[in-house]
Amino acid sequence: MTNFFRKASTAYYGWYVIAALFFTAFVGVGVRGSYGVFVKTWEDDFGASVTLISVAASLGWLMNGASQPLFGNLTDKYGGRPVIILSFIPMGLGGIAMAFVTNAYMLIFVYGFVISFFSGGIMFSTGGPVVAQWFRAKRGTAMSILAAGGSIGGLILVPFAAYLLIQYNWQTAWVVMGVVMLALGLPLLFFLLKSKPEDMGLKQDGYERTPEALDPPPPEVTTGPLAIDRWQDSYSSAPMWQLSLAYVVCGITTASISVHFVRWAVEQDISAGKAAIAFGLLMGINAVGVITIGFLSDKMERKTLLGIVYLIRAVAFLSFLVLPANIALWAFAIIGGGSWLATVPLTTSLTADVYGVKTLGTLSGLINLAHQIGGAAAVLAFGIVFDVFDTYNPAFFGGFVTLLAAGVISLSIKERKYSSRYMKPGDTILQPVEGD
Amino acid sequence: MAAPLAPVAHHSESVDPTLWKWIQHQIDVTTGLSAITIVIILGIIIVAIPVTVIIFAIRSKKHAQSMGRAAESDDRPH
Repeated sequence: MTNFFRKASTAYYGWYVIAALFFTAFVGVGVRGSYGVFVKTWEDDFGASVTLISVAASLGWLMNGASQPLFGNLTDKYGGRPVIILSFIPMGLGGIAMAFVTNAYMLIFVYGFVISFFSGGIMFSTGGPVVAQWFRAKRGTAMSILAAGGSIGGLILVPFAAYLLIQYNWQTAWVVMGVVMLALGLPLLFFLLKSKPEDMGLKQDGYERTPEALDPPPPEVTTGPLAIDRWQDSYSSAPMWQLSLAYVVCGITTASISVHFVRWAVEQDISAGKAAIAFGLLMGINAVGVITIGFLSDKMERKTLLGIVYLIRAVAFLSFLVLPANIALWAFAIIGGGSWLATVPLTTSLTADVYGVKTLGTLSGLINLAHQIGGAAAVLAFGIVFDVFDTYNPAFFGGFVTLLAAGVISLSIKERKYSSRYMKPGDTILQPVEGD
Repeated sequence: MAAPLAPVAHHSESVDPTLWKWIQHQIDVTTGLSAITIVIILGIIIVAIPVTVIIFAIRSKKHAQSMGRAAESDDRPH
């Protein structure tokens, strides 16, 4: 134990930055995730339809996606620290303001616009660039911890909000969540979050601090041949399209399941208890899976892992088609759970490795926007398929096929040619090759 | 429900209310704890994360300062 404390005391400062970002994702995702807990209560209190209350959630989803390129761009210009802190404050105040909402339209404004818009400023398009600035050798691991923060936040804060609602009322629940953000998250960010290691006189990966213990030695080449100064330039090379297209599929396959799972379970006569436990299992595997994949991605090619993750998820979708529903449920929870979040750190890390960190915020924001658009379209498409065919099977088949495509697209990324991880000292900067 | 009230946290979607009702029932049946007990347990976890990080950060800062002082005294001519 003493050894652990000693190690923690001498740890590279970047890990404290990751810890602060972990908690930011933890509360940010948790607070937004808890919205669904209050729907029934608001329905009764406001006399509003579920559809109207759902408008705030739908709008919030789009606002979150749309705001990410904007906040990402601001991060590229001003650094992650001011953007994340200045997004976190209105999000926390918005949480408290939720307690004073008196009708569905105020709900749409406060949650759909304010909280959801500013939550885009604390997500991967802002946190990702900060992580990439601090880490290179362990970038995948660090990114995965950030992603796991959101996952674990959902696991802890959603039940926290729900039981606050049971014990007190929804107004108290939102005030407490807003206070958690402002009283716990904000000081952590204020004292620990630094945009880049140079702000503290350090170097990426902490090379300067323990020069005698370098493993691997400090890289002399820190940018790849496609490193860019303008985000627009990324679209003239293949990896940006490959990563974006694959991420659209990620959006398609996660959003569709997220929204249509309950209807599918009911249609298949799966008991509520079984469905609940299966999803609890998926959430648990999800957090472990993302950290494992992140760790592995620092040891091997990220695009290989990314491709495998999409193919694994394809198998999970296939289970809906070929297995009896009761077994498919568990197969999906176990197989799908491992791949659910793993795409996030892999995609962001790979983007940073290929295009460098100067425009990573904007690029991550744009890729996330593609994800959200794909997700929104898929939610609609799955609903239409169910209404027309009275079964989800054609939609699941569509998901399976798109995942296979995403797997192949990811595997076709020429990481060894374009990633800074594989550059050797003396390598010259190449120009993007058309259609490569 | 035709809106993204999702059951799993992937890019911060909101939890599906129906699924949450199922999960909450399972938590109640499995743990048998009262609402206030669960609030306290989860509240402690939520507070513990930033407090632990801050404590370690302060220790780290102190350690770095003491190392700096030691290095300074080594450099000083005797």
